[in-house]
Amino acid sequence: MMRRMPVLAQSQYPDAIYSVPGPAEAAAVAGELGVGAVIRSAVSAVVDFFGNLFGSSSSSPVAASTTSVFWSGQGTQSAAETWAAANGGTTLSVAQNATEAQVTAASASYAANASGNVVVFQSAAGVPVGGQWAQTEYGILMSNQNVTGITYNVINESGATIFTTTIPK
Amino acid sequence: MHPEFQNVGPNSAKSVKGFTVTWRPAGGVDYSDARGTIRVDSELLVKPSRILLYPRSAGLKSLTDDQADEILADIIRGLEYLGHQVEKW
Repeated sequence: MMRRMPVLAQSQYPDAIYSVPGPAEAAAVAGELGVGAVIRSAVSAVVDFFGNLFGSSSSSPVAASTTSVFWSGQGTQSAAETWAAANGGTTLSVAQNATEAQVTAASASYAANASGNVVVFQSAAGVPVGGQWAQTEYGILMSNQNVTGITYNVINESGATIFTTTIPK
Repeated sequence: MHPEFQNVGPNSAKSVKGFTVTWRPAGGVDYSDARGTIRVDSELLVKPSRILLYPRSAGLKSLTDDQADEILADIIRGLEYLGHQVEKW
């Protein structure tokens, strides 16, 4: 009998970084193999594992009830602000006369006061390791007991979201 | 010394050459001249604090390389006048 290789869920984005198998694909694989509930259960467990590890991939950023939106990398500010405006989220707001030190303090405060699932937009071209996200916000979000997870949106050079995944804490 | 510039508002410097550079603390730098305003993406780095400019910002893509380089050089001088350290990516 010819054994077909499992088919992973295909991202809608041809240049997505990676994709993970979804439950439907996992069930189809188990049924195809015809080895019953034991295999299906094992596949489901694997799917759960990867689901917990990587979250789910989708074609658009995931909205949450109260969403603090962060950004880092070229073009991400615009993407974050556009998404926040369309989904009831907020981005860091700083007075025009703020100093660099005040921006850093406001950034830390914004992360410390976030709750639920937060959203970050990052550039596929990279994220500066010396930026507020890497140096200030991420660490505070991970320590913030009220934050349950982070949805990462990777944008391309054109500002389009090419990949989204949610990673629970 | 930067006799080229004078402060014209919060985080904003105007050059005797006719352009204005405005740092947006929430992100981005505006370059304004008689032709209009261009937003150049930027974000604040820490330890030490400095402004990171993105030369491939959407606002610069419609310009020639020479025009974009000139505007970036103007922006950097303006930001330095305002007291910032500047890096490009």
